[in-house]
Amino acid sequence: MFEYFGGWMIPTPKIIKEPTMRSFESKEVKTIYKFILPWFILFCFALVIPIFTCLGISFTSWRGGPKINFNGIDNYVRLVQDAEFWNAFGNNLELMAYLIVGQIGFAFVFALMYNSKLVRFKELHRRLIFLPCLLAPAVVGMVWQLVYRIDIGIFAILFRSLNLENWIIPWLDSPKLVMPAISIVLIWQYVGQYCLIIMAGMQNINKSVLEAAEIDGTTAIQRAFYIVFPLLKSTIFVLLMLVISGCMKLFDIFFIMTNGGPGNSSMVAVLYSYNLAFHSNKLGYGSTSAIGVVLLSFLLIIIMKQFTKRIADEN
Amino acid sequence: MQMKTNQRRMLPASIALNVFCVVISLICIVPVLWMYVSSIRGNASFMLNPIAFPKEFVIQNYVAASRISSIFMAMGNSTLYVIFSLVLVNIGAFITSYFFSRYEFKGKNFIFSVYLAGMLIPLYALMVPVFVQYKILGLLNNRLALVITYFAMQMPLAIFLYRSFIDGVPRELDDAATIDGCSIVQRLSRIIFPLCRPIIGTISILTAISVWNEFAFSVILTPKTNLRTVAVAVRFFSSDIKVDYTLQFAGLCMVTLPILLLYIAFSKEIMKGMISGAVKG
Amino acid sequence: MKKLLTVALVVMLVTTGLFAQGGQEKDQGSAKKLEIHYANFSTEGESHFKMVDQSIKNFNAANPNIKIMNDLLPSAAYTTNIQAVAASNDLPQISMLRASQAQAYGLNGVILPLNDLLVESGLDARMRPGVYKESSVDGVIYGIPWAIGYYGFILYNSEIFDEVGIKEFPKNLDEFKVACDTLNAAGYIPMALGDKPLWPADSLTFSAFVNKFVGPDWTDSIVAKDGTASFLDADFIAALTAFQKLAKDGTFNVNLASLDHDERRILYSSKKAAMISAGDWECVQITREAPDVAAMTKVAAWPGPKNGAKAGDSFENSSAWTIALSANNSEAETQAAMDYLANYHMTPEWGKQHIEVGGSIASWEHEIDKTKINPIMADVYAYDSEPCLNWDGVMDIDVREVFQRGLQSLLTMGVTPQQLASKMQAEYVRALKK
Repeated sequence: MFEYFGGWMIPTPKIIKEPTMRSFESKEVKTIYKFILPWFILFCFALVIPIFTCLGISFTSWRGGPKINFNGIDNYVRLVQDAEFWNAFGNNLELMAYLIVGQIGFAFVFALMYNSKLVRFKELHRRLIFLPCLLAPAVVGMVWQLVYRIDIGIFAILFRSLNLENWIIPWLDSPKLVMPAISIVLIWQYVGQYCLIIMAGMQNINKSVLEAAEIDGTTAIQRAFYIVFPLLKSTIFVLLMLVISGCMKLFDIFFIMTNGGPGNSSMVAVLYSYNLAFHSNKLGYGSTSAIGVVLLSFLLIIIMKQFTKRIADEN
Repeated sequence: MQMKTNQRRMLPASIALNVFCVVISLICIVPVLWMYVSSIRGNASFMLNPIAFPKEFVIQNYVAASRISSIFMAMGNSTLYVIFSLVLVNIGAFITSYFFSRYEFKGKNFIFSVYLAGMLIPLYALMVPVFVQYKILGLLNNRLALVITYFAMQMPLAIFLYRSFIDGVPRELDDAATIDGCSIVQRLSRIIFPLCRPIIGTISILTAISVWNEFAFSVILTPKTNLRTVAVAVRFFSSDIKVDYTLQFAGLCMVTLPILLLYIAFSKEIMKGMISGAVKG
Repeated sequence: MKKLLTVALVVMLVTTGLFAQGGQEKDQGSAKKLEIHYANFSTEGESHFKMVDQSIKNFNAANPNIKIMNDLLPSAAYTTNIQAVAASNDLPQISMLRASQAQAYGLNGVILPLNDLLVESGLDARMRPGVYKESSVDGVIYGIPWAIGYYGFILYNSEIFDEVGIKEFPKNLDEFKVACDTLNAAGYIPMALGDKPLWPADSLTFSAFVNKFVGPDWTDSIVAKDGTASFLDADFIAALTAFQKLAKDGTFNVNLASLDHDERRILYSSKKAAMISAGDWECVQITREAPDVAAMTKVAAWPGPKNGAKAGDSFENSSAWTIALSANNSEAETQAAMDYLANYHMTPEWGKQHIEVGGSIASWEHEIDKTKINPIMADVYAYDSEPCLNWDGVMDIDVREVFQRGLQSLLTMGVTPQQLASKMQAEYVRALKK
C-alpha cells in the first residue's frame, strides 16, 4: 500500500503504532464519542439507513402513492427470472472486460512509454492525458454523442475526407457496437488517471534491477513484461478492484448518451433500477433490483479478492 | 563514440515513440478542443463543416447560453454545494481520523468497518432508497439532502487519507500540547490541524471535483429549478425549435471552464490528489 | 498567485450565483400575493408560446393579488424534470402531463381529480365530446386535454417523388418497398425516423401503421382489458414483422435510435429525407423552417398489407397532452388555477389561435376558419381517414414501457417479432391481474 505523506508517495509497512494514551476510563471514552458520534450518525443516516430502507421496500409493490402492499419474496423471485435485469448485468460484465483491457492495459503501455528515456515533453503529455478525467460525465457524454454522429461527428468527417465512406458506422445505434463505443469513451476518460497510478508504482521499482537487465542485453519489451509487470502486481490488483467496483456503479454516461438504447443494448444495472423507479414508478421492484446490484457487486469483489490472493500466494 | 552509435540506433524507435505519444495526447484533448472551437461558431457554418477553424467569432452562443436554464444560478448552486461539502468532509474526517489514529477504544473497529463498507458499496445502486428516504422525511428539493449525500460519499476516503497522514505526525507534539495545558479542542485545532495542510488540499480538490461533476443524485434529489446544479443544467441546452449544436457547445464550455482553470493553475496538486485518492481505494 | 486565482474564482462563482438567484426572487415583493407556477414546454419559438405567455399576462393583470409564473423548459428536459418532480411529490400547481402520466399520477394521488372542478368552472360545457378518454381512469378525470391531435400521417415531398419517378403514393406495402428502393438508389433517405425519446416510433408511426393489420376492434379490446385480444394474435405479430421489415429494407435512416424527433424533422426540411410520419404540430414547424419544402408537401396514409387489411387509411386521433393540478394545492390555488384555465387560457379566442398558429384543434369549442389553417394541416383534415388510437396514450403503463423499448429493439434487429409479442403479452397478463 502506498501512503501519502508530506507530498511524497511512500510505501509503508504495516506496523501498528503503539498508542500513547489508552482510554479505558468511561469519562475519556465519552469525550471521544462526543467528537466522533455526530459525524458517524450523519454518515449512517446518509449511507447505511438507505440500505435498510431499500431492503424494506424491496419486499413491497409500492408505486409511490399512498398504498403499500407487502409482497413477500415475489419481487426477488421475479428478479431472478427477469431477463432484462440479467441482460443489464451481462452488459456490465462486458463493459468490465473492455475496461480491464482498455483502461489498465493501455495505461500500462502508456506508463512504460512515459518512463522511457526516448520520449520528450513527458510532463506535457502526462498533463494532457490526465485532463479528460476531470470533466463532468454530462459534458463527456454530450460531446462524445456528437463525436459519434454520422453526419457531423469527428469520425465521420475523418473517414469521409479519407474517402473511406463505408467505414462510417452509426456507433450508438447498432446493438452490437454500442457497448464498445461507450467503452471507448470511458477508456478515453480514465486512462490518464490509471496511467499516473501505474507510474507512481513504477517509481518504487529498484532502478538497479532494470539497469542490470539492460546491461545483460534484454530489450525494452522483455524488461517490461518480465521485470516491471510482476513487480507492479499489487498496484494492478488495486486497479482491478477499482475497475470492477467502478463498473457496477456506472450510470451517468449511459443515462446521457443512450439511455440504454438502442432498445436494451446498452442498459446497465444501475440504469435499469433507475428506470424502474423513476420511469415506471415501480419503487418496490426497483428497490429489489438495487439490492440485487449491491449483492452482485459484493460477489464480484469477493471473487476478485480470492483470485488475487491465489496469485499472490503462488509467488 | 559508443553512445553516439547507440543513439543513432535508437533514432527510429525514438521518433516512433514520440509520434505515438503525441497522437495519444492529441486524441485526449481533441474532443475538448473541438468543443471550445465550435462554441464560437455559428450553427449554420458548423453544420456545413463541423471541423474547421472559425471564420467568425459568434459571442451570441454564450449570451444565449447564459440566459437558458439559468446557468449562472446553477454555477452558484454548485459552488455552494462544493463549499458546504468541503467544510463538512474536512472537519468530520479530520476529527474522526485523529481519534482513530491516536486512541484505542471500545467500538473503534466497528465504526471503522462501517466506514470501510461505505467505500465498497456503490452508492449509486442505492439511488432509489436514498430518494425514498428523503421523500418520506420531506427533505426532497432541500439543499441539505444533497450536501449530506455528498458528505457520505467522500467520508470513507477522506478518513483513510487523514488517518494515515496523522499516523505520521509525531506523538511528541500531542504530549507537548497536553503538558502545556491544552484542551482536546485546542490540541486539535491549534496544533494538529494546521499540520494537515497537504491532506486538506488533497481532500478539498477531490471533493470539489466530485461534487461539481456529480450528476445522478442532483437529478433525483433536487430537481427544482432554483436548486439545480451545473451538471444537470448542462443537459437543458437542447432547444426544440432550433436544433443548435454550437449553442450546446457554448453551454458545455462554460460549465467546464472553472475546472479547467483550476487544473491549469494546480495541475500538480490535482494529479497527486487523484492518484492517492484512487490508490487508497 | 495560485491562491489569488482560486480565491478570485470562488468569489466570482458565488457572487454570480447568489446574484442570479437574488434576481430571480426579486419580484416576490408583497407577501400577500398568491404565487402559482405553471410548468410547460411552450418555449419561445414553440407554436403555443404566445397563447400561454399572453394568457398568463392577461390573468396577472386582471388579478393583482395572484401571480402565475410561466416555468418553461424545452420538451426533452421537461419530461425528465417533471418525472423527477412528480416522484418527489413536488409538482407545481399547474403542469402539463402526458395523458398516460396523468393517469399514473392520478392513481398515485399526486394530482387532483378534476370532474367537479371542470363542471363548476363551466369549462366542461365547452369541451368537445370524448376528449377525456386518455386522461381518465374509470371515469375519474385527471388531466384536462389540450388539443385533439392528429398523428401518424405521412408527409412526403412530392418534388422528390417526381424527381425519382414515383407517380402515385404507394397503395400497399409491396408498392411502398419498391418506392423506398427507388428513393434509396437516388441517394435519399426514404423516411426519416428519430426514436431517441422512445415514443416517436410508437406514437407518430406504429400506432397508425398497425391499424390496418389488426383493426380498431382489436385495439379497443386490448385497451378495455376484456381478455379477448392478445398480443400473441397472428395479426399483431404480422404487423410487427412488417414493421421490422421496413427497417430491414432500408426505409429509415440508420441512426434512428440516437436521433430525436426534431432532428428527424430537420432531415425532412433539408430535403435529405423524402418522407416523415408526423404529428400535427410539426406541419407548422416545417412551414416555418422550410417554406419551399412545405409547398411541395403532400399528405398520405400508411399503406397496409396487400390483402386482408382490416381498416382503411387511418390517422391517430389523440389528446396526448393534458393539464393537471397538483394534489398539494390549497383551495385558493386550485380556484385561481381553474379560473385561469377556464376564463383566460381555454377561451374561444385562444382556441382559434391554437389551430391557426399551432396547427391542431384545441380540445375546447372554438371557431375554425378554414382559410387560416396551415395548408398541410388542411389537407390532413380533408383527407378521408379513419380515426385510430394512439398507443402511447391508451396502453397500460407497464405494457407501454416494454412496448416502446421493444419497438426500438425491433427496428435495430435486437429482438424478433415473436419475442417482443411474448414480452408484451407477459406484461399485459400481469397488468390484467392488478
